[in-house]
Order: sequence, then C-alpha cells, then structure tokens
Amino acid sequence: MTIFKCETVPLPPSVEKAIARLAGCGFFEYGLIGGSWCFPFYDAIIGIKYNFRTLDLDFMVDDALQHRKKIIRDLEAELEDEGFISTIDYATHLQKFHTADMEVEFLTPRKGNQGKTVLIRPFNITAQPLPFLNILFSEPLTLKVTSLDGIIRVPSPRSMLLHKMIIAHRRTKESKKSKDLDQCKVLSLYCSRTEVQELVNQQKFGRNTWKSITASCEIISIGPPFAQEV
Amino acid sequence: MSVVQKDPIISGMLEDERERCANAIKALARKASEYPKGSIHFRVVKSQKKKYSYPFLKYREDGRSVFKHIPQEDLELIQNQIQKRKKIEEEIKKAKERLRYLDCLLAEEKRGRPRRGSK
Repeated sequence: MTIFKCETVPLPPSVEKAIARLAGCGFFEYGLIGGSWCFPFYDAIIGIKYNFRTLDLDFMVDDALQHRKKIIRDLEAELEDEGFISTIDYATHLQKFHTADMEVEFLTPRKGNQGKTVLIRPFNITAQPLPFLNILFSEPLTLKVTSLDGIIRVPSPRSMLLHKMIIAHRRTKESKKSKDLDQCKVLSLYCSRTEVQELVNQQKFGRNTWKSITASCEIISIGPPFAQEV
Repeated sequence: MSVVQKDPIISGMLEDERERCANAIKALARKASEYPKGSIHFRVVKSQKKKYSYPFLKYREDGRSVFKHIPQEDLELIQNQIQKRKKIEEEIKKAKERLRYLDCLLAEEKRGRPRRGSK
C-alpha cells in the first residue's frame, strides 16, 4: 500500500477540525472521506483541481462494522467535544453533527433494499445506507497529512469517477446532476481508460446502471462506453 | 449578469446550501427544546446569623415568570444542560445570519441583478 505524504491540505478550519479529530480516532482505518471534500486531497497529491463544494462533509464507513459489537471509539462524544452538536432526524433516525457553518454525516454502502439508517456500534454513530458506495472502497488512497496529524483515506479518482457517472443519473435535482458530471469531466482527465475498465470488471452492474454509465460517458465526451468483460 | 445567475451549478449549490441551512436550524431548534429553558438564580436566605443559598430556575411561560426550585443534587446537571442549550442557540443565531445572506443572494439572482458591491 502506497502512503502519499503531504505537509498540508488547504481546508476551512471547521472541516480540518472534524477530519483531524476522526483521523486521531483511527476512523480512517475503516472509513473514507466522501463527496467533494476529496478534491483538496486529490489536488495535494495528484493535482486534480475542483473548487465547488458545499459545507456538508460526508464520511463513509465500511458496512462490515455494523455487525461488530466491540466499541472502537465513541465518535459522537469526540465530535461533540470538538464543538459539533449531534441531532437526530426523528423520521429517518439519521444522525448529523452540526455547527453553524457546516454539518457532518456518515454514509455506508447499501446492500439490497435495506433502506433504514444503520447503527455503527463500534463508533457509536448512525449511518445512511446508499447504493454504489462499495465502489469507492475499492483501492482507496492513503495519505499522511502532517497538518492533520494522522492518516486519512479518500476514494481513488477512478472509483470516484465511476461512482459519479452512475449516481449523476439518479439525482432528482438537475443542479446536483450537473455538478456530478462536471466532477466526472475533471476526473476523466486524470484516469486512463484501462484503469476505469479494470475497476468496471470488478463490479457487477444491472442494465439501468449500465445505461447511466453510457449516458454519462456521452455527456462528458470520454469516448464510447466501457464494456464489461464477461 | 451575476456569476450566480450565469452558472447553474453555483446557483444550485446556493439553493442546496440554503436548504441545508434551513434544515440545520430546525434540527438545532428541536435539540435545544430538549434542554430546560431559562436561567439559574440563587435565593439567599439568612437564618440565625447563617446564610443559605437555594438555586432556582427562572423562565417565562405564557407571558408569566416561573420560578422552579432545583434540588442541590440536580444543580450540576441542569447547569450543564443550560450551557448546552445556550451553545445551541448561539449556533442557531449564526445559522440564521447565514440563511439571511443566502436568501439575499438567491433573491438577487431571481431578480437578475448583480450583487451589491460587485462590478
């Protein structure tokens, strides 16, 4: 496993605080940073630049953890100690951590039709199960960032690209879809066709998912769609 | 034409941010309501050359002041809860300011006017 080393990654103070705290708790042995907040890390190690971000910070947790009972670290207490306020949505039982300017949420790969919020007992948090997040856990990048004082993990750019190509077409909001495709365009400049093809071969997709991938490829003009090798 | 109006991604992000902010305010207000309202005061009673102080919670309900005795053993717990509520209320205040700012940006976008101060 290659560990990328960098001195500092430019992040807003509240985002840096949350990531540093989780890194200190060893969260990234089991989890990843998700969404647009991966891009500052991509920029630091590969040079991928994408500057549009909202202030919600998503972390992804390995779904295998939901079956473990042994407590690793109480992340609810750790984040509250860092000044975040934990709230629970009564309808979905989803837990979020707020400050005035940002919010932290945990996501986990969804298997089958399981739609309910999942309790991740080892970290004392609940996570929202979402489809296709398992793609992001394939060969993530590990970084040692001096300013964050710990090891963190982000999805590899090719898994991010494939994931965004799929979910862009599942978005109900047109602006989110455009943002996903915009990110795909940027990522596709740094991922070779072979790399993405290798990743595609490790996955099994249904017909609709293939349609999404094909449509995204057409929109971002990255040549003909990738075919799954049988 | 303002940047917000020109770029659908930025415009969409602002709308998402506004929605997130409004939801956060609701969630935080719900959380604050779980903690006792009001503030802690002490009533000092002098008796036989000695001073005794009794804590009580003072808050307003339906326009009237309510004074509620706090047992000594619950004092620390209630003090902590009130501190937490005050912290949440501060965050709500900041989030509301943020929401107002986003509303202004989005309203100007709808009117099609550039932001104040931008050239």
